[in-house]
Amino acid sequence: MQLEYFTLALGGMIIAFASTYFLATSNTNFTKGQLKKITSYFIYGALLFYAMMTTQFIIEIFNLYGTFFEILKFIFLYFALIFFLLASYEIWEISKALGFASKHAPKKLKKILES
Amino acid sequence: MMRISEKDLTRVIKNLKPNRIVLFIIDAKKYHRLHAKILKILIEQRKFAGIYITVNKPYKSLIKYLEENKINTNNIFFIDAISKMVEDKMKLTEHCLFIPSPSHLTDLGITLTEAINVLKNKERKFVIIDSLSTLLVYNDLETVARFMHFIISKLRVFGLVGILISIEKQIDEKAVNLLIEMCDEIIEVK
Repeated sequence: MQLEYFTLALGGMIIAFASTYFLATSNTNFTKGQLKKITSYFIYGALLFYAMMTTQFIIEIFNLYGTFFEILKFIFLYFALIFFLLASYEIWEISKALGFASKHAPKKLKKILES
Repeated sequence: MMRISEKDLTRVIKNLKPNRIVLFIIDAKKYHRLHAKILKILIEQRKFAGIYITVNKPYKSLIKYLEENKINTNNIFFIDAISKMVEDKMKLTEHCLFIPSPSHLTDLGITLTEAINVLKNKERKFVIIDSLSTLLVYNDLETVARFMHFIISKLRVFGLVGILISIEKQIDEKAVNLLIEMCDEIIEVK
């Protein structure tokens, strides 16, 4: 059973690391702007998620259940979720500006796009 | 590269076919007159509608200037990347989408892609970028070249007319050579 948790934690670490790598590479390719900001939030979120999975991995190896490491794991998870929330908020903001297909798009814009 | 006089400009624009990407290199002294003329023919005579990306003049000044030149702006949607009316976020209003800076090319690219995707009757639509020379002030040549390649490919895929405007002498030979490969025509208006 413990080996299964160990494998899951290791898998999570690898996925979080790969995610951070792809995001960081994309971020360097973008010019300054809102998309870069969103990617940055995702990077911080993915990094914190990686830290969380690493903590879980350490807990599994050294059997540190019920110690400070478990609290630390949740702190990382909590902050990762905050950054994912910030990224989601930015995407929502962008959708307001670029939601050309939205019902709420300005009338003039709709007229031009659909004429 | 084709060199034409101001008189030939009307003929060139009247014969402009869909899916053509044309770069107009205009003498700085004639910029205002020729720029207005290009728009007037496209909108009034060819009955085109489209998207105008301004990195040269803020939206308010541009509208005032177009109205002074009796150009109907009802069929143009503006993307203003120069007004700096927004802090760090894009903002959509009834007549214009504001982008914080001309250096935010990724955001500009996404905006155009989204707009082009929902355009209907694409053969009667244009995208004007005014001006390339100003874009080059805010970004390096390599970045602008990549951006232009992306935009031009999009315009081609969707069959839109692309009008790129640049001011003579503000655009160097290296940039012109890159654009020659990307555009269908480079027209220097003398």
